[in-house]
This record gives sequence, C-alpha cells and structure tokens, in this order.
Amino acid sequence: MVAIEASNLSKVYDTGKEALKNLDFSLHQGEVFGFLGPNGAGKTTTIKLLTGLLTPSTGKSQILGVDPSAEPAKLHGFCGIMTEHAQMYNLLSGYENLLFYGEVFGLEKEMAKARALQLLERLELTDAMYQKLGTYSTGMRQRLSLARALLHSPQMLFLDEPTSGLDPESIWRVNDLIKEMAKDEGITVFLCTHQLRYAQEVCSTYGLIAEGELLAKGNLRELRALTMDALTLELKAENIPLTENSHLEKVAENRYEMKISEVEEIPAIVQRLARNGTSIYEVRALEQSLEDIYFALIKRKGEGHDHL
Amino acid sequence: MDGIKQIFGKELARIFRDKKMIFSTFILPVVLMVGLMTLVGNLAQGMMKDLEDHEPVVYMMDAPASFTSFLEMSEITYKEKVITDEAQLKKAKAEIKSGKADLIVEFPVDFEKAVADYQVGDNLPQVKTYYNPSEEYSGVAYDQISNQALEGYRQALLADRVGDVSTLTVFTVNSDNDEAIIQDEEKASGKAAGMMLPYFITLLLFAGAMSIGTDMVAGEKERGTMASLLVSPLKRSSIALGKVFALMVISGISALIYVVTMVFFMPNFTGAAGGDMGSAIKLSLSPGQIGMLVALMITLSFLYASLIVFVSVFAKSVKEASSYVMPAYILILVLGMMTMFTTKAPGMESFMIPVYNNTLAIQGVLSSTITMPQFLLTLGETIVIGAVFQFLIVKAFNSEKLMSA
Ligand SMILES: Nc1ncnc2c1ncn2[C@@H]1O[C@H](COP(=O)(O)OP(=O)(O)OP(=O)(O)O)[C@@H](O)[C@H]1O
Ligand SMILES: [Mg+2]
Repeated sequence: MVAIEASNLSKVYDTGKEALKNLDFSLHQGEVFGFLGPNGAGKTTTIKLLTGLLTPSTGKSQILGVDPSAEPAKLHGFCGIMTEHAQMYNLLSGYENLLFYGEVFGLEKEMAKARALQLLERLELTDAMYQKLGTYSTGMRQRLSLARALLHSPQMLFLDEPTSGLDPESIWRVNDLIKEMAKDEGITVFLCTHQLRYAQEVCSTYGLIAEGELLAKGNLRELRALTMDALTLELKAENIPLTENSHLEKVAENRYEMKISEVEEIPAIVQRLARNGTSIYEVRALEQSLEDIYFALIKRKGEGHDHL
Repeated sequence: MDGIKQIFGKELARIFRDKKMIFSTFILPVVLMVGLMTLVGNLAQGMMKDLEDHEPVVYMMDAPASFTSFLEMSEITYKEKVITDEAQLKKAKAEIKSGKADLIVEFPVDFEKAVADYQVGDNLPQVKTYYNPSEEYSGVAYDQISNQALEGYRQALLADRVGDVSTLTVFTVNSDNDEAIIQDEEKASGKAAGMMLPYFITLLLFAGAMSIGTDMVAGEKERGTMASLLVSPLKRSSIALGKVFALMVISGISALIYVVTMVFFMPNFTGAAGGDMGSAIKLSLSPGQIGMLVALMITLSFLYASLIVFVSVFAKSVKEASSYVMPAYILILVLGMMTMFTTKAPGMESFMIPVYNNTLAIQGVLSSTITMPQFLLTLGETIVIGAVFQFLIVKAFNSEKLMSA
C-alpha cells in the first residue's frame, strides 16, 4: 500500500529561492526511506511540505490518503514528526515534557504515562527522566525529541537528522529502534540524514536530492546500477607499471584501486598485471557503498548530467 | 475548540507552579502600587505639615511694639529679625529673593504716633510688606502675617479710634459659617484617588501582560518549543486561543487583585492623592462600583492580552517582541497621562478612544461621575477591538511565514 505520494511538488520561498523542483515520488508502507543530499539541497523543505508545515507552490502530496496542506492537524494525529529545531520545555523534566505532549496528542493520562516510561526506557533516558530538560546534553535532547515523536504510536515517521549530535552507540540504538518499528509495526519512515554509513544500516530505500532536484531513488542495488561502476577492485601488489595502467589508482603503499562494472572483468585484469611482472598479494572486489554512490551521483550532477 | 484547554492549562501551570513567577506577576506590582501611592501620600502630607510647622523668618522694620505683641497674642510663631536702615532692607530683600527669609514688614517711622495724631485729610501711614510668591514658605508667611495678622491689627487700631467697629462694617463674609465648604465627600475623595490609580493600574496591567505575553509566543518561537507544538494534532487556532485566554486570565487575576487592593487600601490613598489636608475622608466602593471596575478591568485585560499576543506573533524573539510592543506601551502611557490632566468632565466622544476610555471609565467609576452609556460604550468597544485582534491572531498563527516549525 502506498504511504506517501508526491506529485510535481515544488516550493519557492518568498525570497525567490526555488528550494524544491517538481518532486515526484511515492513510498510504500513499511519502507524506511533515506533522504540524502548536501546542505541546502531541500530535504527539510520536503519534510515540511509533506507534513503540512509549508504549503507547496505547485503540486500536491498525500500521506496515507490525507492532504497535508488541507488537513495538517489530522495528519499530525498519525504522523510522528521530528524537525531540526523543534525543542521541548527546559523548565520541565523529560518525563513531564512527555506527559504534556501526551496530553497534546490526546492520549489518556494512564496511557501517556505508560507510553512515556516505555520510550524513556527504550531510549536510555530513564535515569534522567526527572531531571529538568535544561540539564540534558544535546544527544539526550535529541533522543527525548524522538520519544516525543513516537508518543502517539504514529503510523508514519518524519525524522529530520534524528541522529545528528548522537554518539555512535546512541546512533546504533536509535537505528535499531527505527528498524524494529518498521519491521514489527509496519511504520513508514521518512528519514533525512547526512550520515550515509548509518543510513545504509537502517534504510531500505533511498532518495538522493541536490539543489532541489531528486537525482535518484531506489534501493541500494538499483542505485548501484545507476552508477556504471558498480564495484571497486582493491589490489595489494608490488611493481605495477602505472603508466600502462592509468585506470589504477594508488591509494597507499602497495595498495591500488579501480572501478569496474562486473566481477567478470577481474580475471583478465589480474592476468594482464601478472604477465607484466607484478606481484599480486591480495585481490578484493567491493560493492559500492552508499557513500560511493552518493559522491558519484552528486559529482555527475555537478558535471551537468542532469538526467540519469 | 479541542486543544485550547491543554495549551491554556500549560500556560497557567507555568505561572502558578513557579513561586518566583507568582511573586513577580501578582504580588510585586501590587506592592509597588501600594508603596508608590503611600509614598506619594506621605510626601504630600509631609509637605503640608512641613509648611504648617515652618517658622517663617520675618524682617521687621520700625515695627511698633503694639504690633509684635498683637502677633504674640494671635499665637503666630515666627523668627523675628529687626532691621533699621535702607542698607539692611536691601539685604533683606535679597534674602527674600533667594528664599532665605520669608517676609519683610516695613512700618513707617513713628507709625504709632502717625496713627494717634491722625487728622482728617492727612496722608494715611502705609505699611509695606515684601514676599516671594514662588517660595511656598514665603507665601504662607505672607498669607498669615500680611493678609490676616495685619488686617486684624488694623481692625484693632480702628476699634481704638472709633470705639465700635460695627458702625463701620456693612457686612461680613463667613465670619460665623463653619459649613462654608460644601462637597460630596465621596466624589471629592474618589476624584482625587481617581487621578492616579487608574493610570497606575492600566499601566501595571499592561506591563505585566507584556512580559508574560511576549514570552508565551515569541519566547516559544525563540526556544523552538513552538515548532514542537506546530507538529502536534492541535489546531493552530487552538494554540493561539489557548495562549490568549491564559494571558487574559493571568492579567485578569492581577486586575482583580488590584481591585481588591483598591477596596482595602483606598482610604490610605485618598488623603494622599487628594491633597485634602488629611481630612478623614473615606472612600468606600459600593458593590455596583466594584462590579463596574471588575468588568472594566477584565475587558481591558482581554484587549491587552490580544494586542500583545498579536504583536508577538510577528517577532522571532522575546527581545524583538518587546521592541514591537514598546510603542503600544508608550501610547498607553501617554493616553493614561492625558486622563490625569483632564479637568473638565469628559464627553461621550472621549469614551470612543480605546484604552483612554478605559482609564477615564475607571476614573469615572471611582468618582461616581460615569454615565451608563459611557460605561457600556467603553466596555463594548474594548471587547470588539479585543475580538478583532483575536481574529487577526488566528490568521497570523496560520501563516507559514510567521509560524514556521
Ligand atoms: N524560510 C526560508 N526562506 C527562504 N529560503 C529558505 C527558507 N528555508 C530554507 N530556505 C532555502 O531553501 C534551500 C533548501 O533548504 P533546506 O533547509 O530544505 O535544506 P536541507 O536539505 O534541509 O539542508 P541541511 O542539510 O543543511 O539541513 C536552501 O537554499 C535554503 O537556504
Ligand atoms: Mg535540513
């Protein structure tokens, strides 16, 4: 079932800035969608459009059948939204904050208490739950904000940089939580992030955006296919005559790399090198990481190949 | 309307769960007001007493013994300094000018002889007095000695000369009339108190609402907590109205506290602001007056709350909001000040100017001069303007430019 449907969505700010250009895409329920792109690409703008915080200049979208700009309050009833700068009350404790938002989200008092305690536990905030939010560290605040977004057990999650400012252990824990919710509860997640490595761990599909344009969308395999060089060949070898092998790149002493499209190319390359007197100690074929794909696609966009 | 309750409750809790907030919102302004009014009162009374107690410095030139003993008999206390020549008179005049001395009484040389030897057709002997009207002490001395004592002295000398003064007097004015001053004491004391109190109250109400209201909206934007509210299922209009109502209730409560304070402390203020020379006038507010005051102040709270919240929506920080509200504050300050200096009874048209009419109306209630149409016009207009602001606030809250998460 389709969870998010956006067609021809654009946003031009009052300043004249065209932050988003004709975004077309759809997401299925239960997908964890990683929305990736450099600073100022239009990620936050997209989240705000999809959650009804901004009205689109053109186009429209539907979240589980609800038009965000027409019925934002209704949408917020089943969406958990964590935006970049949203904060809670410094003078209240973490627990009190959650209870207040529980009330705002229309939860029964007992229900809100139970849910808050459960999330505090899950996000490792139980020890700090009676502390004033003012005393929380950046990472603790971030986790409490996530708890707030999850309070009303939403069917959809919009997370803008949920793991920025978190230490690796917390990132791992948050990712775990997101994955689990998608798997067990069928929650659809729209996740903006810069942390490509962590994105690769948690997301099932990706969208790549730059300068307000969606460059690519798909799972890792589909994206790899888009960048022609799907594999990286790593060599540990001595005596490579680089003049004859200009596609090989020296990355360290006795270590070389090159991009190839298929595993089938490897034997020929190795044979040719061996014939030329190169001593080969190790050969590895690595699939392109999300990071590799990201840089390849962004680079290509920079070179002016707009259509992939 | 769902959701107003939650926001309303949160805003009230923020004030009422914090002792410091309760103190600075409800107690401090009232203490300030009572303190200020009492201070003004004491100063005024102190000044009056000081004038009465002051022993005027009087230069006497060639004063006959009969005059000084006349003064003594009339129990007028003063510090006498005797001068004898023109040079000393000149110096004494300089002292009068500088305020060091209060009065000069210059008798002609051989005054008593001139009076005794008077023949019809002679020039009358002339007594000259000098004083400085811009010095209060001097004014009082002039009034007591030059106007009253000298007049009495003249009557006495006249009696000596003709035997029965009554034959020379056609009529007297108020020589035996204790009831010369006729005024509605309630009205008088109310009018006096009504000068300053309404001004203070409208100002304090605004100042209180200003600090809380700007924080409620601009402060929440600044701290990013508004963004969290905007992604909740609450309607934006509910958030806006919840806040305005909370602010209205908070300043309404301070308004009520002001009324209660007025009812209890008014007797202390009246002598003060009235300058009624400590006459023991007591102002007691009737239930009707109290009701009118409550109605006026509650509606004024509503207007202030809506105005302040409306202006705050346009600001990104409390500081910015305060600077936006400041012109309104100054306007209210000036309008209030105007009411302190209006002397003639305000007409219906004066009651059409918002805020100004509220201060006027509070004055009018205190001095029992307000008419029902004036009262209703003030009330109605305040409510209508407040409601217009409410409408604008809801619109502003729905604007993505002013309220982005
Ligand atoms: N309120 C606004 N008014 C005008 N321009 C804006 C506004 N908000 C964002 N922009 C511009 O729109 C573009 C996209 O911004 P957006 O915040 O969506 O980027 P982003 O992908 O979230 O970036 P980041 O990774 O830095 O968070 C930027 O060029 C930004 O300057
Ligand atoms: Mg962003």
